[in-house]
Amino acid sequence: MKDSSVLVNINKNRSATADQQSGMSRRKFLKVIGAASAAGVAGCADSAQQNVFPHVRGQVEQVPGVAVWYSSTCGECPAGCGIRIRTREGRAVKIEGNPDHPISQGGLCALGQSALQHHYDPDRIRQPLARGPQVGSPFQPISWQDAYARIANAMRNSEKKKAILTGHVSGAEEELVSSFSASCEAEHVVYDLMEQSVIAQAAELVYGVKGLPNYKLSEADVIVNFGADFLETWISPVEYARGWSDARRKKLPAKVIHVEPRLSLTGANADLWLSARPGTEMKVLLLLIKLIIEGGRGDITAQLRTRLEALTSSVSLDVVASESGVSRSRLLSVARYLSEANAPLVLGGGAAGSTSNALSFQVAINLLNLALGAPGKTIDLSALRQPRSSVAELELLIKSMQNDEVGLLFMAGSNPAFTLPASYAFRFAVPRVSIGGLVVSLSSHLDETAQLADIILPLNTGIESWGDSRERSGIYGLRQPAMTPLFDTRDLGDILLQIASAAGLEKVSGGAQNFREYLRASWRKLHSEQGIEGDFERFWLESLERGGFFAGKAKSQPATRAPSNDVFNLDFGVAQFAASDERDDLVLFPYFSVRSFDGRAANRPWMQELPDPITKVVWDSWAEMHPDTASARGISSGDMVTVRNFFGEINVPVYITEYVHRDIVAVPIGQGHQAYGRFARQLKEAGNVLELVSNSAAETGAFLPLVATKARVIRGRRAADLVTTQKENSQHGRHLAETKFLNPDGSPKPKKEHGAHHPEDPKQMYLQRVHPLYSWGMTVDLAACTGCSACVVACYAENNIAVVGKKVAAQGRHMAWLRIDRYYEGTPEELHVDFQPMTCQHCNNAPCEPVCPVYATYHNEEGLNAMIYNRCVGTRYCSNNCSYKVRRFNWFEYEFPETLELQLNPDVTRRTVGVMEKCTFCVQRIAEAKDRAKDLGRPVLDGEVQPACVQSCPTKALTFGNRNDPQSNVSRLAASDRAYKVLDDHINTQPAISYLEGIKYKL
Amino acid sequence: MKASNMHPDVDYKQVGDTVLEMLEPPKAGWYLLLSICLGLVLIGAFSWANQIIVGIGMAGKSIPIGWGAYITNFVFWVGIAHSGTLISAVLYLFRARFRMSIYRLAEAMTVFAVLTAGLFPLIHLGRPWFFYWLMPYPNQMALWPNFKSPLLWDVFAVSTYLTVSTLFFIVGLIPDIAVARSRAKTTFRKMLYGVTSLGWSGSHSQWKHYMAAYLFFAALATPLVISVHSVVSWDFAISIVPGWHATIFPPYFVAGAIFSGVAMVITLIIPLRAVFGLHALVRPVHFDAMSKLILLTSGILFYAYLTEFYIAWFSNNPFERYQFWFRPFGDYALAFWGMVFCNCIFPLTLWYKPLRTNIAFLFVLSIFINIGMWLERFNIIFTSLAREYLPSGWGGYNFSWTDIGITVGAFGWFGTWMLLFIKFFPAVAITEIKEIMPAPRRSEAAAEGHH
Repeated sequence: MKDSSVLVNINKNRSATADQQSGMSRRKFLKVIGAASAAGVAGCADSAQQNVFPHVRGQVEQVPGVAVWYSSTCGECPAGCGIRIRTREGRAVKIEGNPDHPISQGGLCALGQSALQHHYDPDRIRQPLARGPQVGSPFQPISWQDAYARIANAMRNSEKKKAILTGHVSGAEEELVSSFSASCEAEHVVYDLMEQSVIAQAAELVYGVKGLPNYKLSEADVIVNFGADFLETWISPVEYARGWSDARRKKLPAKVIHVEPRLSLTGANADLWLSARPGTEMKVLLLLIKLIIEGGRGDITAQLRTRLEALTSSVSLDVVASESGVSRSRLLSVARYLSEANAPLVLGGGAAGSTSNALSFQVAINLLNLALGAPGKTIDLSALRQPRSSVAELELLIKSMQNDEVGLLFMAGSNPAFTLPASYAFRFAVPRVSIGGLVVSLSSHLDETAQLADIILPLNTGIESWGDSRERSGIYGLRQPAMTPLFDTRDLGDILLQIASAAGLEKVSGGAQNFREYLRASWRKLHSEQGIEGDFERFWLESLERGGFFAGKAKSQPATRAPSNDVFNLDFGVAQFAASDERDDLVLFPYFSVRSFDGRAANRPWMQELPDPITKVVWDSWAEMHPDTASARGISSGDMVTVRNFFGEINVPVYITEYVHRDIVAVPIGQGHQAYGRFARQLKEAGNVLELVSNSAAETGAFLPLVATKARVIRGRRAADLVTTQKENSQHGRHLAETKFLNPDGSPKPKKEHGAHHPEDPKQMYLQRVHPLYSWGMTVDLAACTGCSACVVACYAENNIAVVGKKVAAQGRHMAWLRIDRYYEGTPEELHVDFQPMTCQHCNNAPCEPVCPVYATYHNEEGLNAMIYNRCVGTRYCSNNCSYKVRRFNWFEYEFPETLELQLNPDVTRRTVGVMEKCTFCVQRIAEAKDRAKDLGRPVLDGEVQPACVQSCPTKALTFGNRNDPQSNVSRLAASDRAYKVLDDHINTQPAISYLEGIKYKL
Repeated sequence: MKASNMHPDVDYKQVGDTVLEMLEPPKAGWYLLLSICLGLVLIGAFSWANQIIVGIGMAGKSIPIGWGAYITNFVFWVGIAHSGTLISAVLYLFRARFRMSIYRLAEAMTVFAVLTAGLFPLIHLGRPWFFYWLMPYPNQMALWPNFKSPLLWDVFAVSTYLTVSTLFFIVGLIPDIAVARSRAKTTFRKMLYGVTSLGWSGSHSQWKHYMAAYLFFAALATPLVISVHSVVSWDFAISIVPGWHATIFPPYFVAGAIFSGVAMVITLIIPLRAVFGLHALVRPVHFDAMSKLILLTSGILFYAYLTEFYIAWFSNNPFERYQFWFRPFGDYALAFWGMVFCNCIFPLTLWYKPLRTNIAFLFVLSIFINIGMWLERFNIIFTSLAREYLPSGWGGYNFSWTDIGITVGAFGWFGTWMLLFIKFFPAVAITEIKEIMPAPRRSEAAAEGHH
């Protein structure tokens, strides 16, 4: 209660100032709510039991029908984005980006949005489990006490080594794991496939500081990217997508050139995609260094210049052009753009960058950046991320497990049994520990790794747990539970503290009774270190409310030094691809997909049903092949293929596309789970592509060389049932997704006029509708939309959209209200890709409205095309007549499996069988804002209503507001010379959504 | 002008005898056919029940193809229903004498085809249990249907058509039922005909009123021949779907409906004629007349098809143009070329006069036309919806056993009604054939020993 009273004071002050300043009520509202929530949590966490369902005796902060928001930090990937969790009646129902957080700035990716389905996953472990004494006996429930006792016993009695294997850990959790492992003399190994450790290593070699630099994409004017999928999964995708879009929104947009053998989403958004032969990227890079140096650019010392000249002396333009398959003129122009740039930036990494020579490749990238003077301009070395993931350490651990040297193994938070190729033999080493020792898994799911354990201690998800995230200096994100644990699960920190106390390791806790106290102690230290004024309680509550503490003093720019001589002794040769059989003729190219990252999201129905942004495939794994490569093997579209090498095989449908290099077979990572849950296991027949990756190719062990193995592809016997949600890849010159093309100097290319352009206000035959107060509308900036699909998942979460499964999706019946249309134009050499978010256009002249015989869909006085579900009889005429094909029909009564249904938004009706549904512009949010505005006696303010898609967009490509207000953002954007309405010229539908043309260079 | 006798081989008595012989207790063949039809009805009923329980998704529709086999069947059966009224009402007004021997069957076909067609809008609803929301009835929700929607016009058009054609059908039957009544042997039949003949005695005054009423109904039904299928065509033409949005639709649909209806009459009457020996009543001259009607309407259809393509090109509208490229060369090209063959090419053979009276040939042709007209509706519905404005929204259909079950169930349903009808009511108009026959002269009749 003390917490609450402090808070009320804070709150009063804040509201007063906010009112005085601008009456900005949305922020104020969020703050009030956030404060109230913080009070609630701080007041009752740990001790008082909170229940999921409404209380007979109400709680102060829980008013039925009113959402409570909790600020927190996303833990889905190592990026550390700030989030706000919306709860209703004690249940978390939506996750949104925290606008105050410097990393995510309000946006949130698809993975972060879908954390709700991780939390409400019906396949979560619900209580501690242990195997019986016999090897391979099934898991039985066990009490926490017994589990702790067994573990403590093993800790005391084991003569052998102890080890803790975790995924990415940060902040207090990392401190705790470290102190726990130190006090029980255990080795702490971190393994997270998504962590780009090799870049940190290369930074140390070249810049003299270890860590992942913060890439300031927004500052760059030319970005040359060797495969880093920074719009998808790389390091901090939400932040980088925002930076990219800021760079693209400048008066003279940044040029982006992408070099990768496969067209990734990031590549598709670049101005120029160069499909270099796999392995030859190093040559291209060295050539660029040579050309830059020769061109006289480079604020570098003469010594370094000499060294670089020596390094690149053997490289020649003609050879590189012929080896890489990238034309001379392209190579020269890339070099020219780089050398003429004010703030160039060269990136590399991701799956494409994890070749056998990844370290020297990253070193070469850094050398090029150095030659271009990028550090300090576009590369910030003061706020480093410190990835700790190390395959080398894990390999050592595996080796000692194989030698029976390990007696106790803790595994937490990552799934190496899935993400580490079979060739590393992790899966076979762990059972050796079980013999005579103990394997403990701390996991929320019974995944491949947890299955290897003797005891499983179920973990809270990020929505239920305490924690913090200190990914980058100066940014301290806090994680707080937004609801009571659904099951009998605990925080990782609490479990470690309990084990420590059971084992008599008193030092670990530092006096903390539970992990929340431990966290507070850690923040108390932060409070004093940072020299923050005011007492700690106030700092703590403010931080909880805000989602963290972001005004931390950045460490001073660390002293960088010139690259040491050792750097130049690295092997800068082309990447090698291990082939144990000469029939393995294609480079296996596993890549991270926004749908699953490294497989962690495979058991989330939203993510399985989210169309892959490039291929538009749902519910499947596939092998991408070039048409020539496929036809040479007698493979045609619709076939199953077997991708095989010494290490194993996968059986997946083929996806034939011109947008992969002839020499590769590209397979998304993340499918083929043998465990984990019912949704992930639906694709267990496909097999895990990581199994095929060799362990022998790496020159150094800090990373996993994903693209370093060859494989052969054989036509399978069966026909494939690959389901895509978009079958046509061309827009047939219909001018749906429009792009303004620029010459390399930024001047616009002349445009081909199309069709009949109507004057500003075409004459109308009928009396036009008026919208007296509000006329809701949206703008979509195609220059900023990356196609990342975060909005699609946000829409599913907000609007209770049913997941229909593969079979029904195959029938053209998937339910997404908002989809991203993807169109290709031009040849692979001059490819242009359009991404166009397409949802109900809320036409003023809606074709759907007059044809409905029962007025189930009609136009309301605020310009919304409204849909009355319970009046709909299901003639589907509206959908036939919808020119945008955005209406979705409930062909069946769709189920939300038990516990997933707890996520349903109580503000939105669940639709029954036989009715039509579609985007409502999140009418429930409009209603909420209008209610609030009415209470305050003012109209709804601009920006006060943000539909779920608009809120989630990492690049802020979507804007929503009142078109009646000429000052609103949406009106101003809709008046821009880039604005147009899809099909309006042809059929006078008068959509409420204006699209702003994309902007691309023709390089 | 003195018309020639269309039925020279029979006299009054033989007409009555031949027709009433059809009402004799059925033989095994009839029971077999009836059980097949009822079996099909059961398949359809099961499919529908299952679809109601599980969801409309049991049928193969999708986004974008929101209408599929059911609406195709609906338009098909409404089309079939069309020629009945044409033959009975329009040709009556035009005093076309060949109508007399076929019109009864055509009318029965009309009524049963409308009964069949009328089911499909219900079957196709997502929530068929709320079908009555399409009716303007006073209700406490104060909700009214949307009179702008062509689907609502459809409700009125089809229900009006069913009402008027049923009335016309019953009125036409009365004198013949009275004939059957006088010969009825079983109590059930006596009761049935006694009630349904509505006290017909054949008196002069009754005939006077009857003929006036018949003329009146014929006049009332005639505009419906145009209106029903025009309204059905508006289901499509009112929309903005490329391939649907065309002003040619009403006349084109009406011509197509007559075309398919006449074909269906031929399909039905040929076996009936063979089984019940109606050769003297339904003579080659009738087939010749129907063939000419087919030739005419086929020509109109052919012209309409060409016009659609021409207008698509002429409009310079990329969406229309693509649609009309897609029909002959796209995913459903087989349906398109099947339609062209069945409806435009194959009927051209009827220019050769001997084929117009070649019964076997006509039977095959009529079946082909029925298929062709189903394909025409398939082309309009499936193909247009499959390729609309946004290429990202293009898609296909998933034919399912429910689609097929309900489609064959509809044929069973129609067949059941037809089979029951021909065994319970005179399927050929007795009195009206007699009307156009020369009255028997007393001397001849006396000479042959009749009264």
